[in-house]
Amino acid sequence: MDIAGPFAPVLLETLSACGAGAVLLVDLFTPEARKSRVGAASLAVTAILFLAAWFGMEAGGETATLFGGSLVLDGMAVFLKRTFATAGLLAVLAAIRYEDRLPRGRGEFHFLLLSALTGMFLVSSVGDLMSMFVSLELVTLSFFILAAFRRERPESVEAGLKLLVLGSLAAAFVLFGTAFLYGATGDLTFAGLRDHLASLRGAPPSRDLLLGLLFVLLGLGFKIGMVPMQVWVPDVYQGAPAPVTAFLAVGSKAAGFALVLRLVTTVAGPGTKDSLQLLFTALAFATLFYGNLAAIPQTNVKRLLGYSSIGHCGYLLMGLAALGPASYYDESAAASGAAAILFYLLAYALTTFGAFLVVILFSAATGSDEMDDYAGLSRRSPLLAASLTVALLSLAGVPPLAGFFGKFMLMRSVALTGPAGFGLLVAGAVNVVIGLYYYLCLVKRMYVHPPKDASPLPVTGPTAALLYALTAALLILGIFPGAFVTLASDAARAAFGVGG
Amino acid sequence: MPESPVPPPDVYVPLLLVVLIAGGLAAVLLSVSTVVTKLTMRRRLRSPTRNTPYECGLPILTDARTRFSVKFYIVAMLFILFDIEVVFLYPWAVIYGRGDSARGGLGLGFLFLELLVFLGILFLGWLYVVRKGVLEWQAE
Amino acid sequence: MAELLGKLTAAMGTYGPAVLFYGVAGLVLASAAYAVVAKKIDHSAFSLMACFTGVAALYAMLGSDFLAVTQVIVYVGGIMILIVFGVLLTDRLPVEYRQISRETVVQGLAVAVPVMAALVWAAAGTSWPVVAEAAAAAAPPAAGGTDPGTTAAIGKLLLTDYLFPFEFASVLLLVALVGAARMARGGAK
Repeated sequence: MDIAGPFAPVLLETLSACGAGAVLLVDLFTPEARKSRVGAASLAVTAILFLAAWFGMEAGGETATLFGGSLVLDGMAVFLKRTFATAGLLAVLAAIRYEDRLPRGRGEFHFLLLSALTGMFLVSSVGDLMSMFVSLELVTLSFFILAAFRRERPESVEAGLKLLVLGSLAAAFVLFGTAFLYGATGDLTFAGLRDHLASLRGAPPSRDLLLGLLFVLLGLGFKIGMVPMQVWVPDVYQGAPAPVTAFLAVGSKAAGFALVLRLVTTVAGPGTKDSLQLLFTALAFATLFYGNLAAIPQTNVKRLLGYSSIGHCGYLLMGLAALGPASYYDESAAASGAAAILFYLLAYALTTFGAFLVVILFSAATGSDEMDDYAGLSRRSPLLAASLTVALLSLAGVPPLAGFFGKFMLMRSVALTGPAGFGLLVAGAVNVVIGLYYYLCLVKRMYVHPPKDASPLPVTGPTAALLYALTAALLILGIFPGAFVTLASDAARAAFGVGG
Repeated sequence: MPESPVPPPDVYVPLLLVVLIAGGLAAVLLSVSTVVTKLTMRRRLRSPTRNTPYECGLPILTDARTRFSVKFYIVAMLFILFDIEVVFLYPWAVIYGRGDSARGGLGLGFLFLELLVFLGILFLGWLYVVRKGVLEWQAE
Repeated sequence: MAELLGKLTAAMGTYGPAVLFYGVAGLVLASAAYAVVAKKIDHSAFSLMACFTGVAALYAMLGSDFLAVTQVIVYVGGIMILIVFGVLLTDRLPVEYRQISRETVVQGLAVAVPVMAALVWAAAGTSWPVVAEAAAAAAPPAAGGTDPGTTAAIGKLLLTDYLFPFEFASVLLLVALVGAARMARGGAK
């Protein structure tokens, strides 16, 4: 069903921007005693967005463009928007669970969540570099305020400051690269960049174009937590309020990968794919090992998830390394890499929220994020322990959960590229084992170690329902991934121009 | 040299003249006052009082350079944001009310609507500032 | 005498813009450098203002009139005020001056040198087409056009092809406004 006609590319963005404004208005005209209305309004907005994204947009429809190509709606954009809408709904649900710990400023909190969501919707369908910058900044700016939202806690302020300073550096890289790209091609649209590269007919592109691409990629690497732009991740994950961390983990990563995918599908061609494959293989290696090895000694759950998110960025980069060397270049490998990234992002969104919801509930009850305090959680609250275990196993990639199938698709796409991918394949497998080790350490604490404080942690009805729903979603996505895989690979094939 | 769409530097000659006149005026006034003082004053006046900013007012209590409340900074930040808004209005104002070719075929009503949306979003910001009492100065 | 004057005028016409350009560029560099090394923070601030103004002049000389105006409005008029307010707020703080360690210098150089090398490499391998003259050759402006500037063209693009970034820039400003108020007040209400 397509409810917006020619304006489908701007449907979700407009809705969510209006929703953000509405939430702000509700906050402004609601007396202090009835502030829970703000959360309800925010929930209503994200629920509408969720429904509009999954049921109001056509996934396999024609690629629609608006404003002279500055906005594009193709299968990839629809898939990403659905991921973002899901993440947004979960973020607001998590934020409502968290609200009691915000003494003031609930309205701003929900407004900023929605404005970040607006930026993410925009990110998934940008068609030119100018829109890309504006939408990326909308996401970053909202997140930096959200990270520093609990100003009374120094860690929160530190998180916001790090995000601001390093995020500005990344934005400068993106902008500088954009200037180079415009100088080299005389066009701001991705379509113009593609035409320019096609007109070279295999000749190497000019140096300023390469440098521009590299700068934009480095800037985007910040958003996804790619080595060498990953320094901010652990501190920000630890210091930011937990719902923000979860939304940031999903949103920033998916937004960054949306743009990297757009850029790569634009520039991948006979003249560039060798160097792109080499670049992404090296980046995937470094990111995988850095994230997973540094996660082992962690004692704080949020920090652990921060390092593991760097590791997941490494897995996702494997999908880009599937562009393949020239002799083995196979469009189906490239497209399957992109499809794997899209699927993995959806699975990662659900898994991350599954894990963070437990972290939020646990720290609301005990005031701690330390792994030692998770000891004996299975005896204090079997539901929390079981939900966290399922989420961690999905992160580790254990069948039959969603994370397993995502990793399987990524590995498969690398394997399709032939011998050049073997090294990366082995690295991926080794990292799955490392990941399993540190995730299971936490699971062991919850199930084997005796609790320091044996008082039970009650979970209320709606919260329990949410935990059951997320766990079920992870199982469904892992056992019956077919429909989602079809959506992702159709989108990726269309993006690479491979006949569907 | 062919005529280019870029304005030649001599477009800015009036601007340069204004800058020169402003700078020159300041230089002339200051030097005249110095010279006149030198010529008319019998003895050199160099006392601590002579060097204070307000020679004939109340004695100065403290240094002017102390820390100010962060509230001033909010004013400055809000100013910047509305200042940037002006930058966006400027190209709109240049093409509004011109011929159809300058407007790129956009109708006047549509142009106006585009600006209304832009300003409407910022009006929400103004509303926020007023309702939340961001600019209220009472001690809390 | 008249001949000499004629020659001088001709030379001014030929070299005048270049002399002016490099003069202003030198001024910009000098004031930027002074902003870094000045001992007093208010001297740095005002030196930075000279730098911003000079950059606006450079934009104007290069034919980007809209950019020049934007530079004046945003940087000279806005950012400078923010910086001066910042000076007001922080002056006379018990500042601990930290000596820059050799380690920091080495780390900085490890990033700066490759980036600089990459920039030089790219700049050396780029052909620098003069767009203005090429465009002028392709399409001479209509006779009697009183507005040779770029503002109208930018306005047209901003309200057609780039309408979405335009409107969402407003959302961005709203987010910044809410965030600034929230951060500076610490949620007083």
